[in-house]
Amino acid sequence: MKKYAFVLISALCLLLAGCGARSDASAARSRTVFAMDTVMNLTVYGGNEDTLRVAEEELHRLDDALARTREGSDVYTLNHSGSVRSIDAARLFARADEIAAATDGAFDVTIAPVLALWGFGENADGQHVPDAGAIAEALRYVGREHVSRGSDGVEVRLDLPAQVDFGGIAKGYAAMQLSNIFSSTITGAVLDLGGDVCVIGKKPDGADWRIAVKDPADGERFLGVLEASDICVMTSGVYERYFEENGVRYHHIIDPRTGWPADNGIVSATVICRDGIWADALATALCVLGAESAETLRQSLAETMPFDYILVTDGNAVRYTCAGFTPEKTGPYSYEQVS
Amino acid sequence: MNRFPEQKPNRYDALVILVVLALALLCAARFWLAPTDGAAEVVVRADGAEIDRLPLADAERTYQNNGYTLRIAVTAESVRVTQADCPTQDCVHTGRISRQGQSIVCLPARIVITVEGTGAAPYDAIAG
Repeated sequence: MKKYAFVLISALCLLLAGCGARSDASAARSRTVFAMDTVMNLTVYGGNEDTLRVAEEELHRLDDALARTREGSDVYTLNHSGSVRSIDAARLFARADEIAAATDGAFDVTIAPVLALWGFGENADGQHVPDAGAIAEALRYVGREHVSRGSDGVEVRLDLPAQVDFGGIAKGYAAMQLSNIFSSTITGAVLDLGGDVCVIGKKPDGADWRIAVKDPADGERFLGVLEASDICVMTSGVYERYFEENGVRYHHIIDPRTGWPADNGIVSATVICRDGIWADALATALCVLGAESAETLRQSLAETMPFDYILVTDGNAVRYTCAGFTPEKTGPYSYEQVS
Repeated sequence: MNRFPEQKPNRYDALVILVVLALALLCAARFWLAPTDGAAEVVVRADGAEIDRLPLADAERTYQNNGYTLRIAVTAESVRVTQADCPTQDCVHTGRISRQGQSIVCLPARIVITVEGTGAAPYDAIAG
């Protein structure tokens, strides 16, 4: 009888284990959100519909607060009155200020007036090469010294006619806000914010997430696949927006120090960093800095804000620093791992 | 000393064990032996809600949402937006997609066209 009981109990265990293989902890819930001029896909494991509803509300709230051209938004108020009391603007400015200092001005949220001159800003009036004098005049109001925070930590002040645009870090900030919302309610998540991806925790089976990185030259191909957990993967590239004038291509990544499109051979920069705001900003900064300065910056931030990168250069070279990245090698690229 | 007399198993005990074993194996097979390479499908969502799902096979479809109209062409290998009256034309310029997880987005129409598989995806997200 004992032998039969053992078989029976084993079978019941197998039954329960099999049926429990897709428990709540591994059940995925997804939601598509249209916000921040892109489409976002949120997939959470272990949460519930309320988790996703709160996340979507937060994304719309941030969209409303940070839209530069939406009358009444925090950023609109700051750009038109010279000050605003906004915890989001204060937090974003604090981080932007740190990043501007670390990158020696290669990333700067006050670049907006110069972008507008080139026709890349919101509501811009046609894309064209601006007059050099106009660029020089606009550059007078570009720089972190034109923005300051009040003593209460909530007020942000701006030296008009300087303008700020948090578009370069808004998605990274949104990802971090969602991480905070999710922290106590989920076991893992994949946040795809229009191609900028943050993964939280690990997959339900305990493995790292697999994130394919697009080839900037061909949306059908991938540069490779990154395996990681608790990380953000953000990309900027000169291919995203550009125009041609007199046979010359001008792209939208403007060097805040010169007012001209960055021209150092970088086609795209993908940054892998635990902090979404830094990942977002550094992706732009590395396009401005170029490959050599990107590596110098990576080493200088190794203790305070460690990050990895995947750079595609106009010589069809891919330079990457992350150990978890496996090149797909289907494109025309030569791959070099920088240690 | 046993409080209960030893009982010999009979045919009904064996039957119960067989039924439980069969259920266990069925349940385990369903979850553990799920296919990993299912056939790819094209899934079309408007405002986040699924409005169409079709296999990767020759077909043309037209969708309207948010005041805009998109026309897609599906083949055995890929799907693309052939025509759209949206102002940006980003959906048309995206070109063909064929790999699981790839998508074409038309923001003005709030339509997302995704290639999905019925098995496990080879990656969890696409960055870039």
